[in-house]
Amino acid sequence: MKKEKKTLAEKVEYETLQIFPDASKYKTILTKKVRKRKLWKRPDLQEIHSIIPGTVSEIKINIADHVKKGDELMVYEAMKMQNIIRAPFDGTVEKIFVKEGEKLAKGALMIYLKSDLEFVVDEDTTSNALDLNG
Amino acid sequence: MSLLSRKISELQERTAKAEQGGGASAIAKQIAMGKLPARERINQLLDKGSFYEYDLFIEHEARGFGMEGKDLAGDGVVIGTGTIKGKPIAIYAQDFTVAGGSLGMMHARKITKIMDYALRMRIPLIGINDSGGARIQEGVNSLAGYGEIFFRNTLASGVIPQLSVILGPCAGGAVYSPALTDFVFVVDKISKMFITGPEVIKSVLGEEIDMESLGGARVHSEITGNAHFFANSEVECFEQIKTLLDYIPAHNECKGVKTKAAAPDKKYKIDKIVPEDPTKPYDVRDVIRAVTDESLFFEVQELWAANIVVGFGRIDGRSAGFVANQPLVLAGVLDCDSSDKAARFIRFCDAFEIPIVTLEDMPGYLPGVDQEHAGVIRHGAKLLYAYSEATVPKVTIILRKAYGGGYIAMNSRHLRADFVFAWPMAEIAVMGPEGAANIIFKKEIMEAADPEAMRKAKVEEYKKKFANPYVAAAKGYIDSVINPKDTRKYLIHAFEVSENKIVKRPNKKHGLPPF
Repeated sequence: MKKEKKTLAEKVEYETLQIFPDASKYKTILTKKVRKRKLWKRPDLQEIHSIIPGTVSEIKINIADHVKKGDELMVYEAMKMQNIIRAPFDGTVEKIFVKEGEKLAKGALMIYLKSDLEFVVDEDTTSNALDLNG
Repeated sequence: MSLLSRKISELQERTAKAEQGGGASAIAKQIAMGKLPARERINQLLDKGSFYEYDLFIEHEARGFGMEGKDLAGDGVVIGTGTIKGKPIAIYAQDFTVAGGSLGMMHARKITKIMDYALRMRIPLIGINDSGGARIQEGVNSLAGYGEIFFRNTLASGVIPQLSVILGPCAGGAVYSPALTDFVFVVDKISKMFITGPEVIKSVLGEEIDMESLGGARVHSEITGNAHFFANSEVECFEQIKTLLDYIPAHNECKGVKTKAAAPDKKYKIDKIVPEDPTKPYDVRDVIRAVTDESLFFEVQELWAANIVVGFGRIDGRSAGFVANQPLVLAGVLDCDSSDKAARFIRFCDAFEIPIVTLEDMPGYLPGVDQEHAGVIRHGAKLLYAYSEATVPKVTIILRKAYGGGYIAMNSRHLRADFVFAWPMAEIAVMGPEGAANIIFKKEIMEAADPEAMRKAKVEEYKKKFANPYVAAAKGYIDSVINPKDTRKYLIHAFEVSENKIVKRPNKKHGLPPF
């Protein structure tokens, strides 16, 4: 519990928090949540992950198979339901990381599907609103 | 023996038997688990001898699954009315010694009965939860029982204060009742709250976790924000309940709470708390204690979203709700959790006619993909909604930083604060000097011979022009720039003159805060 921090504000080791570029670094205490947060990395959409813990019931494709968007890739049992995992885009099955009957956690990498088309990433990182200099 | 004496003997026998609950050995087990029996809890919480119990002789009517012939005293719950520090309250306490405190039809009926009483009599409702959950043998009757309880929690919400005390397991459907009430009290190692328990999670998902780590008191006090008060023992918890009831009214038409006035403790020197260096933190609770009667501050949700502080204090005898950015934690930024925490507290105060004091010192919102994807937009909007909606007297004091959107959100004039005062070192601006200079004077800095020197000069220029309260004062966005030493005087006067505040709003069934 943070009881100590209430009365010994001066004796605490402060970390710094900056919330604006080139601006003040505030001396403060960071919460566990903020200290532990993972910075966002762009996901490779060709990686098909499990979205829920479950079991690989049936794998319906082989390596080098070409699939169209919506084709069935596997049957995945989770929450007592047989879920059909479908191809999110046209592509070729490059790698299969799991076996039938295998129990998976959430976010497990199951299939790598190479997309027929290149993914276009919007590289624009400017925020337009505050450019007051025209 | 006269007929009456014989009948009274019989009554006493029946009463004694029913008050044994599940029997001596079950009571011993309860105590061995570190938990007090239901009636003992009521006796310790309420004023001595003030408790009147109802429906002691209730019997269940369940058939099948071995229920016939099962004698369940009071069907596992104790209900009644009494007083706490002289104030009438309605209470129920589930009795874990009787069928694990499981909820069956008559058990639920007793609870809904006392809830109906509380609402009709306009007195606070206290629910002590300690139950294994639905009585499976009674099937849909148990579910129906819960449903009737949840509906009444909602019906009474904002009319009478509803307190939930979690002194045992409170799981599955049962836990929605506390979630619908105003304040949830938890006790370390005793409270357990979750929707799906460890066994189900393990068998369906394969995640292994113990009850305490899944939904213990600390989890709900520090991580989920479901709990409002954390205690180390049941006794400490009862003291917290008594303290809370000192600050809040019996019902929503009481026009606030007023007791004897008292001065703050002189050891809190209000003009010595905020550091000169604006990047240095301080504990805003010291500022609160510098202005409240006897420097008392009853903090709510102390352990969650600590970058904002909410709680109750008294200003000249008047109970008031405090909302304050906490520079000590995360520089006092606003984010998802702190917006939720403050918005909920503001709405409680507004519902029960408790005036609100807002102390502002925040540099902005916490940036990050995690915040954005967690919906800081939706959560932040709740704070704006809550302040705008509140019609109780609202006073804002800007202590130091008030930048950007946060300036608006922290009960600005524009959200209809009644009085907005600023301390002389307040900085009310669209953003901090460094950030602003970089954007507004971007061209000059880029084209300068020495960009760094130009940047420094422009930051100073912006600081002089905008990092102060006088620009906002010139526009009437704040009412006065005040000497910190006069803060309490301004608050006392503000609440004095706004006692009869009346605000008319457009007729509507209800608005749509971004849930």
